Amino acid sequence: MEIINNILTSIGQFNNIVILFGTLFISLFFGLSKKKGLKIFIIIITAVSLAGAFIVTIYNFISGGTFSNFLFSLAAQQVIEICIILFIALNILIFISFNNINKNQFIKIIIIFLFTVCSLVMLSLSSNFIMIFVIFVGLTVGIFQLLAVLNNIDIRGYLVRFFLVSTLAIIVLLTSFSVFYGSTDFKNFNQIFESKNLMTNPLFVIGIVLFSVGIYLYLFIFPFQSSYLKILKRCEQSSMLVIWFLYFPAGIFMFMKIDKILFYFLEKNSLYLTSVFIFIAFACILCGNIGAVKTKSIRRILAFIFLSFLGISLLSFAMAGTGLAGKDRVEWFLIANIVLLILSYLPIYGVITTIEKSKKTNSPDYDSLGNLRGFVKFNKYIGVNFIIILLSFLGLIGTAGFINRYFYIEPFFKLINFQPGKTAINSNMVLNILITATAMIAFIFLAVNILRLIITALGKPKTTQDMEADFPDTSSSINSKIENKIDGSIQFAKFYYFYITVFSLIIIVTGVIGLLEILNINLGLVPFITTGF
Amino acid sequence: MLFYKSFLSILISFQLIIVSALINFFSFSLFLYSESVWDKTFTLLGIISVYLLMFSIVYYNFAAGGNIKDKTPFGLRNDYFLFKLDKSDWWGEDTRGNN
Repeated sequence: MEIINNILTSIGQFNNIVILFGTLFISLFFGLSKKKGLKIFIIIITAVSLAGAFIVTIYNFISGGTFSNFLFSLAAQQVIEICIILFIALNILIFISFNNINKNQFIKIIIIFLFTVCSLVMLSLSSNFIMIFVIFVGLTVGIFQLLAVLNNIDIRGYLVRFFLVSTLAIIVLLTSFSVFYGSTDFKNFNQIFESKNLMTNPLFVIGIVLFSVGIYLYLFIFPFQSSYLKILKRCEQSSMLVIWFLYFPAGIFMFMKIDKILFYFLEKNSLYLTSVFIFIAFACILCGNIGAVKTKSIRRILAFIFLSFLGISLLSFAMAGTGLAGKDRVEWFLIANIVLLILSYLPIYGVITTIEKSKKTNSPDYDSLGNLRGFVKFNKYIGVNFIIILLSFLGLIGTAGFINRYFYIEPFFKLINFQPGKTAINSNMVLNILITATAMIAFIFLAVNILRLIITALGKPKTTQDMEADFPDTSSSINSKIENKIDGSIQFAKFYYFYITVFSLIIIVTGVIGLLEILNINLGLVPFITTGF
Repeated sequence: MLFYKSFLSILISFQLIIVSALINFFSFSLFLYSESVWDKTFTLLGIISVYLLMFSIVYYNFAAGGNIKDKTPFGLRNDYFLFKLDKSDWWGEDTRGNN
């Protein structure tokens, strides 16, 4: 009994990981089974374990508070990250189950999926360099295997190229850790941050540059976007979510591990570093949004907008450099951008994948923007929710997107109010103006792209004449015409009505709570603050 | 390295960076912090995990239905450029067969 008590005490803060690994262990016994009943059983226990881990994480933090040891550390930021990961995982599980339940290797897919989620949770918790690096590589292996097993062999070349870039990023990270070790002899970033004199060491600065280059490459930020865009256009549907919400958050969490050190350098070298951040953010935002404007493929539009959102996240570091935003606010921005992308992309993804499925799989326009035409007219309930979600992404007042936009725009108004008559121009002011211009360009382009989606969805449905004009040379056009006679009338699964309603409600409730907080009205509705840490 | 077309060249250059990182670790651990075990642990675990990742990519690339083929399945016309940009990566449409 004492041994069990000791074990329970030692795993005290890791109950969530224990639950996930327990489910993984149980699933292993059924790995080779093809029975549908067992598949459903595995889906249910996985969903329950994800929900259980979510609750346990919050409960442990409330009862046990923060902790840190040689390998791991837990604070409020990690709890938020883990909750986001588990929420994402639950949603991806739903879509993977819908798309792949008939595959023979379904239980194997779930096993690899659970392994990936466990790795991401552990990556968020880890603080020691060994843990960070090994788990990060393990996570990448997990995501690679998950994508390999989800997709057909015909996209193998694209998948290999995508992960060769990730491998290069990881090897650059390995080199950066070797430089950190040589320059400091410390084992984690907190120790480095606490000894300020070490940060002036040029070798250490090289380490930080290498680390940032690795993460830059890992996130496929411009001009390395090629492999990411190609795989996203061609992959099986649930793989899109795996790339967006398991692969990319890992890179962002890694970046957040060095944010305190970056803030230190931003304070010291604010002019040069801020300019670098503005340049990268501007390139990301401009290229991402223009790319999205120029394409008719919905998948490519979403892929480009995702990259431009990474640019918006990087812009927040530039804001910290000129004093427009505090350090806590930058961390909030990084998390808030991920949350906004999750709340917007998951329901939109559901709509576009259902539309894709209603097309022939080998049709050349399977993800064309034109397929959205008339969709709202024939599917009023889902259409209205779809538009609410898009408007929130655009930043409509009273929705979740508005809170995010407000804190990006607010500092500029403050700046104008504080310095009405000031005429002297200094470098800080020029940088502030550049940041303002970049943010304005970002949000205007984003609005254009989203309005394009909304207008297309509200447009008149396609007629058969339109379709003939679109594909005059396609020999199979007669078949596709018959299949899509009344274009726009798409059959959504009943579950999806519930799913999209939940997301609309979350978006509106979060938006209203955030708006009340911004207006300083405290009704005591929730025990936490949504507009800051 | 970003401009290598062949799969093998990319893998070999990966090894070179790994070896340089290793030399870095060992040179520091031998002369600077000679009593540390930490770096050996890092080196061992880090190298194992990186090679696991590379092994899975290589295996996946060469495997066909459980058997490993003796050459890349794509032939000469396929390339593995890590940094290859064409118009479709920035602008306009991307067709399915386009590599």
